[in-house]
Amino acid sequence: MSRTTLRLAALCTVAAGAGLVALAQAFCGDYYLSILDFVGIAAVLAVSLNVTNGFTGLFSLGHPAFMAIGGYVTALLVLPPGRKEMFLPDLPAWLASAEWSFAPALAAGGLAAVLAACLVGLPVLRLKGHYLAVATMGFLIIVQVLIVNLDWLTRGPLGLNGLAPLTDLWWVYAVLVVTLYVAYALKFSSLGRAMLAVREDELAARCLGIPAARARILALAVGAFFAGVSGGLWAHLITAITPGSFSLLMAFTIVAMVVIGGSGSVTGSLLAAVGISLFTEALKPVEESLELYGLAEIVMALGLIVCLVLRPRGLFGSEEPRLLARLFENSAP
Amino acid sequence: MQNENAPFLEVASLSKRFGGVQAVLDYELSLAPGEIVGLIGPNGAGKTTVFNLLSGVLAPTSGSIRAGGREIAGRGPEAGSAAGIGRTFQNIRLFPALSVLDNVRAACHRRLGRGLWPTLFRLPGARASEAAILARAREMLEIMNLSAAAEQPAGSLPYGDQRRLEIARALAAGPTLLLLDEPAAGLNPGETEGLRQAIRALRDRFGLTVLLVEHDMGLVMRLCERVQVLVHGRLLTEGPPAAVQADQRVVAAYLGSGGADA
Repeated sequence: MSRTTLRLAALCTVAAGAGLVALAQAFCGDYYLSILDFVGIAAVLAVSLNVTNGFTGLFSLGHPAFMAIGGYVTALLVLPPGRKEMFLPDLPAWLASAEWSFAPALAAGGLAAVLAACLVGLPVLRLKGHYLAVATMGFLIIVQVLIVNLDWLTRGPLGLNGLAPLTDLWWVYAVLVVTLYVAYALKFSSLGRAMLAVREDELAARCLGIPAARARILALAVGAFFAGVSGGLWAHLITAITPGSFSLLMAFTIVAMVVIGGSGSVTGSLLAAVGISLFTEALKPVEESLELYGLAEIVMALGLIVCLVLRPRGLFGSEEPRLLARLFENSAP
Repeated sequence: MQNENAPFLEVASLSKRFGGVQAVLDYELSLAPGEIVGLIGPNGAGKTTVFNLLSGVLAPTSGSIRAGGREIAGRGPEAGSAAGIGRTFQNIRLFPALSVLDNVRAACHRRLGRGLWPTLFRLPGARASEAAILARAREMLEIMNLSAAAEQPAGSLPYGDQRRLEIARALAAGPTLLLLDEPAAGLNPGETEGLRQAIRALRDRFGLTVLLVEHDMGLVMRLCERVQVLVHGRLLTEGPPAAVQADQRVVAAYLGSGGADA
């Protein structure tokens, strides 16, 4: 198959996806639509965490912290001034009068998360392995504590509720397509190979002149951007945001998707995110009828253990389908 | 600008102490462009420590390392690579999950790779860069006779091929000086002879300067133009291979000094 045909096929796939979104919007009930929204957001989260954890071998548990930052920033920018006056009377004037539309507010949320990633990355990325995991967990807790205590900005533990239900399947689909594009374009580039080299053997990579520290910060920042955008989508899907919305349990869920799919495989984390979140949703009625709440989490934790024992590199390892490699490799004359 | 025959690398009174152990003391080395020099010595003499100092992996306790006119002592491996020093490792350190081709392509990143925005927006510069990287990587695989294995994961290669891949990868970064840490370890005589010819060819083709640590004395004698002998972290002697081989002090250092504790 020639490159032109391949590109055409890729465009057709994206268009077909859009067609399915249109069909779902027209014919699915609110319940099923919201499930699809959550599945899409989970896919964005897993794919973006894979850029951070999978490409450069960071083990970050801080993804929900970036979601929280993005979620609050988006909500504060979108919330109408009247409601802000009621919730948060002490806001500075420029923020109190801001009433952005959804798209720029989502982008601002993503950029705020990037800023946080750069600030936290500089000291924390000196650490490795378990130490890094614990440090990013600490970062998540710090963000939660800040949100609880910065009353004037976040309304503390009450959170912000009654947000406009702006997130629909179109938004989720668009963000997912952009996330996948960025992840694949990075993976099949010199920059992406440099990131993977840092993961495989940092010392050898540095001896080849690959700036390992910069590669790690970049991977953390790219992951944080999409986590921030997902936070904004999430907040305007469930129309509320509280300090507890983005928890360590959520970090565990996203990490499990990346590990089961295969650290470093974009395709793997996409499929794992879709599979696991659909499975969790499907199990909810069972949980209710048996009154066994938390069953889905237990099954997922067991799945993670089985995967680590039988297939420690995940379902896909670091591999991607050949066709995608040919589509994204940018070295054709 | 330096003239043609000025030494590429000049090392002066280089020392490294690990706690109470003086690993290297007052090491000196001057390498002219295109020279092939061997560094030999008994186990534990500090040869690998010297390599780690020269490539920036370790910071020296004192002393200076000038490469291509730049002081690089203690500035880290990135500085060593930027100054034109490439290396291999005694216990091979490839990127095992990446393909053979991608191992070599990753090494081209410093000189030919692009940043985030050109990559994501697929600007024309990024395409040219990817094409140049692919061409260079294929050339390096061809030189080291690894083209047939390009798509295999590096970790699945036989041992001898892994050693050659490590050299191909180091070459792809475009070094002026290549440090080879026991390149013939674990190779059979046929492979060792192939390696000798390959190193010679690289020197003739790219004007590469080579410093190698090696225990295979046959290879050292046939390949190197000059040999340094390191014992207990100190330079014992330095000279043409035949003279060093005939030196009684060198023999004594390898066999023990002849006392009751030898």
